[in-house]
Amino acid sequence: MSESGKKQDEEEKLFFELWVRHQSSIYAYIVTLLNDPHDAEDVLQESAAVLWKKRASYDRKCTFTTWACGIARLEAFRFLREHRKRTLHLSEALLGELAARLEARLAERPSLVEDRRAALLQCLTSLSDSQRKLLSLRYAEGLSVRSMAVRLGTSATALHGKLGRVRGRLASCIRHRLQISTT
Amino acid sequence: MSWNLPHEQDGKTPATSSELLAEMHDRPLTMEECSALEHWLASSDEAKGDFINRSIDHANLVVTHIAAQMASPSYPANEHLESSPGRFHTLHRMIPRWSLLFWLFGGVRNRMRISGFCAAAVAFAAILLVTLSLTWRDDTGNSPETDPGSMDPHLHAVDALTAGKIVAGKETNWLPPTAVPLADQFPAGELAVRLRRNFNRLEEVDYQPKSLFDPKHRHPQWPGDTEGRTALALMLLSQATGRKAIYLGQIIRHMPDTMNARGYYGPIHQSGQVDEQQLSSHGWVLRALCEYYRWKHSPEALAMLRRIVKNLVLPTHGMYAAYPIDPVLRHRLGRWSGLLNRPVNGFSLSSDVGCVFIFMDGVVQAYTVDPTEELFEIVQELIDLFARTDLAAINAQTHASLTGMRAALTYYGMTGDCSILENVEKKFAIYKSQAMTEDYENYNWFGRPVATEACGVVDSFLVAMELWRLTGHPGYLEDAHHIYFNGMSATQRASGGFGGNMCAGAKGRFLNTKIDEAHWCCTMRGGEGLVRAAQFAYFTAPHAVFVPTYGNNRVRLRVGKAILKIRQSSKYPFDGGGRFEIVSSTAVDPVEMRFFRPSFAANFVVEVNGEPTEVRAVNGFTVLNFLPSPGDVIEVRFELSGGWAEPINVHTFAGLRTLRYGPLVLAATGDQRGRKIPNVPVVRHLGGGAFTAGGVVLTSIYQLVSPPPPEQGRLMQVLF
Repeated sequence: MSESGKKQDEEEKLFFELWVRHQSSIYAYIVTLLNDPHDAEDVLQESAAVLWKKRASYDRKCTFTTWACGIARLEAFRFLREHRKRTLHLSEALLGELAARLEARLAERPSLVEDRRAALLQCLTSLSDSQRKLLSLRYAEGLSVRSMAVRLGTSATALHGKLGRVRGRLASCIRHRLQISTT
Repeated sequence: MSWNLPHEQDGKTPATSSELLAEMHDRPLTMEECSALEHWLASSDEAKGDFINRSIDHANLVVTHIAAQMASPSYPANEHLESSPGRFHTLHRMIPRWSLLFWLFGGVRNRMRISGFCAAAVAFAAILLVTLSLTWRDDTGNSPETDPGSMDPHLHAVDALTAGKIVAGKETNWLPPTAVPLADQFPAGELAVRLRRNFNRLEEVDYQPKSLFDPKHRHPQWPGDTEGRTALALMLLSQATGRKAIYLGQIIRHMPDTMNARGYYGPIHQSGQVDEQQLSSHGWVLRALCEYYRWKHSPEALAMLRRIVKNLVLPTHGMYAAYPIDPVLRHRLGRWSGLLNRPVNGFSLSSDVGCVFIFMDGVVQAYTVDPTEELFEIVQELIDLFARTDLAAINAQTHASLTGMRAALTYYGMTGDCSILENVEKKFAIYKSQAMTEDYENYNWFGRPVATEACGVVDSFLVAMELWRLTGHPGYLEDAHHIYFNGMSATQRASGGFGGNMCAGAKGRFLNTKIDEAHWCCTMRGGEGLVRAAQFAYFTAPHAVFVPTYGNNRVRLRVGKAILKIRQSSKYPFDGGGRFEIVSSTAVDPVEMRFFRPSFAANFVVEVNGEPTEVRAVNGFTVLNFLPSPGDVIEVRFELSGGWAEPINVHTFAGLRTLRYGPLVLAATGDQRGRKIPNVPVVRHLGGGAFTAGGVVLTSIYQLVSPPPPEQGRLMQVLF
């Protein structure tokens, strides 16, 4: 293989390594902006395509997440402008501020999302079977709360409350575990 | 803090903000609910943090559940993985590999929207994935992530960089700190005097609406320039001083009345033709409208901004690739002389070569306020143009160059594109070595040291500060000290306005007034310079307070959840250090107080309540870990060293040098000019801004405002 071929190969390998390592952070970043995980998947794909195209411009002195989040942010805002139907209408100024805050937190703690996910996985084990089933229906099967209500024979309002409580419990547990791990 | 929705809907009890946060991932919120949520989020940092955490957890719940489903033996695509327990032996480690697949093949909800490029990438990536998979598992089943020793050493280096461990060269985990909001700082001392005089000047008759919008007073070749600069300066000064800008409201209201039918200043040109000066002028108009919108949330300002973007900015799409930056062509065209309104590639070029980059600053700011895809394309075109322009080779105007650097740094902040940061660092280094005078002012154009221009000096200060903030390199902060205490101060007049001087070094040994006041441009830009000097007295990071300079002020700082109020007094730059009194504090955890330690500081001492305390040095700062309580006093003391300094500009007459005391450039006036100073001088501060070196009495060029100068236009020898 020629020198330039090797260099290109290295560049591509590096890109994949970094993408694999940080993709969940970028996904969480996009979810923060879009609120909808399915829309976030779309934007993640678009962002990946743009990042791949621009991989040669990635400067290794720069953090990968900063670079990638910058591009993901543009893609997310483009998506928001093109798709008027949203689940959550917040101003771009506020979303921009939220994005900047999350970028700052990621720069300060690059493993933020992974750390929270590791804590989440431990916290999920503390839930009851029925609570885990609720989460499974909502997240693994991707059912809407209304569909879940039909399947479980209950009201959507009641399910909103239940899901909120389960997530609240998980959030407390994650906070607790992260405090333990940093002290 | 929790807000209730303004009124009930569908007879139900209104949801609280925390309930909305809990439900926002499960159902679409109504516009009223979104509005309430927005209001709540905007008003509370804690709410923003909660929102972000919930979003991350939401994303993680999706990822973990889908991953668990895919990892299940019953999931068809995973059947073959059962024979590879070493590769995917935990759910957690399996996620990244799955996520690569997820991306490559379009995700779980694959919408089959893979472009031609993506298809090629997928094909390549599939091959690469197989390769990676084959090499992934070693004999022990460890993946490269769990066994770093198996990784390419090159990737290790990248790891360290991406983990933020080596950023900025010296300090680990450099996180750009944030400037204190204008409303939270209260300047005092000489800076307050400078601000007040500038503010007073900008409320004199020349800048009142009746003059500003009088066709006789307006400069037809720079339509909107004075209006934009004046409005911008007034709104910044008002925010920094807490004083009402009497005429600002009228100015903003009058602006549309003096615009053309398409909602911008000056003539309407035919398609494909633009006037560079008209664009440049609108850089200031856009900046003023952006700042006003951020401050007042004025729908009128936003509407004006949108009209300018739509009718003036967007029609330039595709033109910037043809902007002439070839030095040979530019020189053949006559460079700076007589080019005004001569059309080249659709541009009526300005004698202020490169003033299109002032326009770029306004366009980038407009994008931060009202981002659209079309506008971003223009931003990128302009940034590309700026990045590839050799500013020195085309004899660009330094003010336009430095404003362009500011814009490019804003773009870097938006996109994280490191190549732009690097490009600005190179351009700033070229500016310093080729177009900065020996008293830290500027040549008005690269290669043309006719006079200095305070506008450019102000922007060089802003660029230096922003480069320090973004990179953490203390050298930039020291540049900012030098620029502020010499260049900027030397161009402010006793009237409060700003002017221009002779280019010390390029034209000889002396500093002298060349333009008493550039009332049409620099007096307004000086306003922003002073406001930022006040604002940059402190910066904050999540657990740290940065004190990048010393002065007299009060400040309210938000550090994490704590609020600190500090009163600072200092005699800097005549004496080293400052006294910091904690007026109030809600901190329950220690805060890192970081005090700038410039290279010309010696014997640096920090005392807390009169007792010397343990500190450490990091990246040009002395760091004190400290739990602040009301009444605590931190004393920072250091000696300022003095002596000869070699020229900073390669074009300065050979053999000349400047004499320094701390950040100050010293000057000989009156009969002290021309007197010999020893090769190894002992520089002493006599008090009152007077110095002595080898028996020669010297002055600083800083004290132009307080006390008032004995004479304007006095010849000061600054090179020896």
